[in-house]
Amino acid sequence: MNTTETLPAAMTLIVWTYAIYLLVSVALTVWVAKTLHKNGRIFLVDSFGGNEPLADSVNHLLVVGFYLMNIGYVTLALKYGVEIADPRQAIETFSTKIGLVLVVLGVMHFFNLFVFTRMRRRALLHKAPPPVPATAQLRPVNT
Amino acid sequence: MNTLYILYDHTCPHSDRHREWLARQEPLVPLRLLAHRAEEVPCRFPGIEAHLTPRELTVISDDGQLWTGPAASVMCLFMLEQHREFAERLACPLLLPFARTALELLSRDREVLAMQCLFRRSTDAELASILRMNSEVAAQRPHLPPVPVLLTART
Repeated sequence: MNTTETLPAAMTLIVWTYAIYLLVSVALTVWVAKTLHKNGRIFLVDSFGGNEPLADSVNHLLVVGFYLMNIGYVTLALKYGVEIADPRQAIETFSTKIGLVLVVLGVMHFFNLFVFTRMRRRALLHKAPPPVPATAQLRPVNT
Repeated sequence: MNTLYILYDHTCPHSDRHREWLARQEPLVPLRLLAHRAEEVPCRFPGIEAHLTPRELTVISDDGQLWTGPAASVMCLFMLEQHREFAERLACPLLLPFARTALELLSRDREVLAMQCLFRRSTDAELASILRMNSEVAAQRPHLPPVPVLLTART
């Protein structure tokens, strides 16, 4: 028995919408994660004061967290929306869901940037030279 | 700079509190707190006696850079994990004269939180007027621990 023949047309539309939604969202998540992983590295190395192994490790852990958060959100958000009865509603639902995924990705991206900028500021502060010039210079005796 | 020597006047009534407070903080480089009379001081840094002022902190790094007066207070705070940002701020010309008062206030633990809030929220001019008020109060009663005046200058 062919399932597509037994399903009403609206149902087929829903299945297609969901399938494309999942495909596009996951593809977008992978693309954003790869971009962040590639371009965020140099920023992280600087934030960790040139400690490359640590920066690479944090970079990788961040990407894992990013995947978990986003794919988790995408799958959870799948069921919410209006009933799909015609192609117009299918396109609108698809668009709304993809839009939300993009906004969530954007918010997460800016939150990450905010956290790393703070970390970088702290790292720079740790390396900062004395804020006041020395009053005098003595010659210490090595003991 | 690998070590910072903080030299304090052991005869000053406030020095014990400063020393205890500094010893409890988390430093960014190892700090060594030594009394003016400590034998190690002139042995390690010949000629330092001329720079030691009664009742004042003197700060010297292991490579011989020496800070006295308000700059010494700034350097003490600069070497503490929690207060480095404040020290950067205190180094500006408007606030530098009150660096010692800021250190005095911060070394009173109960007031640390309030002072931190003030540092974050006040402009340089407001902070300067708060510290000026406090230094005037301290000047009137030099032998008593400072009583923080934490009123803001806003009208």
